[in-house]
Amino acid sequence: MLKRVSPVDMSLKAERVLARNGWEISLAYAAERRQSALFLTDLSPAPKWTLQGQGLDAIRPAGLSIPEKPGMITLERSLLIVRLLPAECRIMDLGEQTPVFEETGFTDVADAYAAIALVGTRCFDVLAKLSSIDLEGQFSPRAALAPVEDVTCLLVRVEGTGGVPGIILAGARGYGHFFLDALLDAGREYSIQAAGWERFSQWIAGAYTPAAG
Amino acid sequence: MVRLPKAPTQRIDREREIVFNYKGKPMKGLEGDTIATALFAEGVRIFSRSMKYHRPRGLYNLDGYSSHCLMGVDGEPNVRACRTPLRQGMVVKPQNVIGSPEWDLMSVMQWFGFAMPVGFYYKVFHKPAWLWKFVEPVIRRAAGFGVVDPTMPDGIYENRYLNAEVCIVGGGPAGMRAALEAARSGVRVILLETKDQLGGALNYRTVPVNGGAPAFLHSAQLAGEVLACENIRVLLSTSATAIYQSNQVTAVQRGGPGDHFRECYYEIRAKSVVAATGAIERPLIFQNNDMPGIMQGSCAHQLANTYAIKPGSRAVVSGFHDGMLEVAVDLAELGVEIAAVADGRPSGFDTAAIDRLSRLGIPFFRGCAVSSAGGFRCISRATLQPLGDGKPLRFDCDLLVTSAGETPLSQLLQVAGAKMAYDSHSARFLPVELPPCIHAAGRVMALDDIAAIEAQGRLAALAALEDCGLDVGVEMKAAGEALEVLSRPKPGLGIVRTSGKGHKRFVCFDDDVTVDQIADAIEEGFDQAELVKRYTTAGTGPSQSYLAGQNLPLVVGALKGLGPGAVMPTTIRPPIFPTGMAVLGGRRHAPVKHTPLHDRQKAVGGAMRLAGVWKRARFFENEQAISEIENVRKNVGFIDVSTLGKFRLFGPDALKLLQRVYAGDMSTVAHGKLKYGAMCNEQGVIIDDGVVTQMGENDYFFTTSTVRAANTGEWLSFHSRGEDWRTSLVNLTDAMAGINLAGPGAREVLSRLTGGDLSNEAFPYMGIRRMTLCGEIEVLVMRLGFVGELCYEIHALSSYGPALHDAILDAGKSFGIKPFGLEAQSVLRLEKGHVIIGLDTDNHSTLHDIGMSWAWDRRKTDAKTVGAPALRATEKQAHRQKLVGFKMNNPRETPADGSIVVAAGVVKGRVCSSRYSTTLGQSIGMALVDPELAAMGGALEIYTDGKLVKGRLPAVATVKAEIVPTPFYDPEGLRMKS
Repeated sequence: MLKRVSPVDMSLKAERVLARNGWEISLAYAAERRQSALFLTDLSPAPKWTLQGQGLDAIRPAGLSIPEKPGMITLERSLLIVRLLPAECRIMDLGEQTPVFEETGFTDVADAYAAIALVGTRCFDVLAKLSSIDLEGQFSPRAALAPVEDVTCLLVRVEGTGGVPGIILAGARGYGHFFLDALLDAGREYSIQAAGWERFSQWIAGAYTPAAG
Repeated sequence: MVRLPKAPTQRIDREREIVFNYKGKPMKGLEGDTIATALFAEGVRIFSRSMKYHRPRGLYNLDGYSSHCLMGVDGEPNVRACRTPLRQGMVVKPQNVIGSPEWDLMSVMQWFGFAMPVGFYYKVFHKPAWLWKFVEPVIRRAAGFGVVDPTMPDGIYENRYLNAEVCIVGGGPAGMRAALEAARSGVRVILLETKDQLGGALNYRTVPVNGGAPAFLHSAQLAGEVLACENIRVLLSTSATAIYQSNQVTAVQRGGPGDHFRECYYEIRAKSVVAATGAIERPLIFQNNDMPGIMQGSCAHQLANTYAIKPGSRAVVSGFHDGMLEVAVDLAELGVEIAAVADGRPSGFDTAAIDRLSRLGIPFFRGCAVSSAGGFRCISRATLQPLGDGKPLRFDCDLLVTSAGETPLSQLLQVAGAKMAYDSHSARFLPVELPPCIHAAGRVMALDDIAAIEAQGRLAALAALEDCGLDVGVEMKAAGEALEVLSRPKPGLGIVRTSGKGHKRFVCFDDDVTVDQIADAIEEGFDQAELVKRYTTAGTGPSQSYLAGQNLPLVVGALKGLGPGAVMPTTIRPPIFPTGMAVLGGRRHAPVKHTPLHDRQKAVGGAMRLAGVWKRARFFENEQAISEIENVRKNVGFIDVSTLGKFRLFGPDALKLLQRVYAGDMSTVAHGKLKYGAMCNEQGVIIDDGVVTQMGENDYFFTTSTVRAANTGEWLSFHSRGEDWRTSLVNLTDAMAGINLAGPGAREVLSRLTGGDLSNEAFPYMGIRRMTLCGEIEVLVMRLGFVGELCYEIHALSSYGPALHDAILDAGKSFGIKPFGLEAQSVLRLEKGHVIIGLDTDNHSTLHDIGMSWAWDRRKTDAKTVGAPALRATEKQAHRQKLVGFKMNNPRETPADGSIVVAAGVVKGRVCSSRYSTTLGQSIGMALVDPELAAMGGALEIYTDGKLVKGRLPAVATVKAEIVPTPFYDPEGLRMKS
């Protein structure tokens, strides 16, 4: 089977991997035995879609509602839905359900974006070295398109398990290596560490809104 | 020197000795010392020499506002020794001297003062004219501060962007009280303090606050509360450098032992800003006021109370405010003999301080001030004189503590746009009109009572909270009333110059500018403060507006016979604190894109070079890429074309948008087929090209050139503005890896990867097919021919890019497949006569000019095609340059891209691209030339770079070429269509 390759190359030995959709997803790295409070995980293999068109409010991807206003997010049953514009939202599957969206308005953009989760209370300090966007404040938006060292990215603020904050960054795939280098460099001061999908999953599980009913 | 006995105000650790090197000799200081205090404790009294006259200069100010203590530290010039913490192993060097600060050969300049009148560089050494070219380098060498050491170790310089509701500049009592008040409401507060400790001047003062705890204890208590507050972010050793629009505060932090950076530059966005920047002492101007041994009150106070250093043995104190009385009492109690205390004020003294002076038996002279100082290198005597008439009194001393009152540190408010006015009560220039959402509190507003300072800090914080939208009206009213009942600023004297005479009364220590020189400047017609500043350079040195700033307008006003405040201070510009270039640059990471095949291409020898925002393989074997070219022509090669723009356009009105932006008719685009499309701008100039295909009903896929990919979304959006079209555009540029498989063997190689029918009949030129390669990879394959051979452009999901690369390399191994880079592609397409937009065109080239009128469909007028009117208008214009192909008369001679085409010495065009074609055995190219030169068979004369002839480089050489038809190679297109 041919392997799919992420634009975010951690160059670390994975202790456990999961094969999914042609990807070999690193569940945990050997270096993770001593865990740092600040970590990043490569989310590039996560399925992603863009949904465009009029009347988005009437569409319910995988049964979920699309947030009402730009900057708002829905995070339920492992699906992250970000309303970007009145006529556009982005969807990312952070779990394993891999829904199928066949309507015209959906475009599979899994490979268009490199995505990285930056998790830990110091995540805003790391971001402060790379972007002027304010995601930390009480009244700040949950998601925004903002420059990270001049590269426009989608940044989503999430509070995961234990209320630990994190930022999910998604930007053009070609910059994947750049995002990783910049985040590791900016986070070195806070002992940033690369983590596998397992640690990310434990954290994001605390962020899901329980499904109604 | 033995330090003073322990006291609670001190911040040195006597148990921790620090060894450093000064002038090549080891010296010792204590943990908590600055470089300057350690040197002073070691007996150093002359710290530097002045710039012009090389006069000796000693410790004058300990807050970083004086250039007297600029030194080279660990290779970095102009470090302010007075505020730089001492660290183990530091190498400290004096600067701007030949010899040492004590014995400086350049001090002879003092005797040539007559040759350096004000504005001397405008006046002398210019005649005869030839003299200046010898004098100028000498002056330039002699002038300036410090020398950059290119071997200085690199450090980490960072930029950070912070956000807060309230940003407070200044960590003194006003700033701390403001921070605590703002933080109580739960908002984010950032507090900037230029020193490495909160508290400001309270830290070394012992007077009781409100009759309670001494100032230093009160300060420590406030600081403790601030540091314990979770929503106050305290940045110490951080100097604000400006406030820009929308309350963007910029600041620079100097890294301490715990920081991983050397310096950090902050851009802080705050909804509201409180400036609690405090005040500094105003220098007193008298004869020889720059001598070592003369220092400001705060300097002597800190030396004694903070660093346990006796600033002198016998002192004279001369000032215009109560703070100086406090200093005199403190110094006397610490064992310094106070020979005399003079206060220029006739009345209004702090009576408690006067009583203490009296009890200590210190002579006090009211209405008096120092008029001159004297001594060899360092001060040994001072003369006091009444400000009116009266006899001078002379005192022997080794320390003269002086101050002409206080100057508010209003620079930050001024750069933010605050209006200033002279306050005759406090005798200071004060901010009177502040910009919206900016507030001021404390000594910057001329308050000197600590309780009043804190009350104003609280009021400013409440105003800031109101800016943030909080309802604090009731609290503000109460805070305002509380401030009203507290003491007002004490009256000040608008005098900075005492009654003495002499030629060495310095207004600006940095550039050795004296009162006499300012008088001369006024005499010469430079009678405004701004003009005086420029002509005399007063206030343009490292201290900027801090020491000379408010003194300059007061002196200019007095010399012009005007009252204080008649002349306003000069304009303040950011940065208000010296900022290194390195920290402004920061440690930016260069954002460069990698294609999905980047690592693979590199691994097989690709020389990766920047191409727009991408890194792409320029060549694989050598720069000429000859073997790569030959392999494509004779065999099979492949190139990474992942950078091409790729878009999905869908929606009921998608075709309307295509018709709008493409010159051609896109209604004829059919399933399974590609259509070449050119995009023009409103001037009919070609700006992009690519292919378009239909993937489903109202669902299109199109490609663009690499450079236009980032602009395509905006372009389409702009040209559909005002229409109620229902269209959606998805940029898939990064989503898909692209490989162009080219050469006579391309079909065979591809057939190894797919079972699909690749015959020319089943999959003809300009066709597109969905295929599965290697049984797994879903791809789009396009039959194109950019390089003039049988080509398959394969697009797969980017994550499969490396796998696809490996599969193609493996499948082509037996055919001798090789990768080729951009250089080979450039030659191959040139041979084929294919145009690269931007290289073979410019911002005047219409489709007609480059021979591509066929790409415009003039019938689709309903579409309002972008550029169509211009194409119509320019179609028959005879004067337009034309793109022509040429071959060189000398087949081995190749003009550089951009070489000028001339006729009879007149520029007639330019070479767009030219290469030696190994395929044709001939140098060929394309040029944009004036129409009269564009006839087939015509001759071109091209200026090109000269070649070395017997070691000499001729300016230009002329080479000749002949205009020939294009394509140069396979004109019928049989190879790419076969």
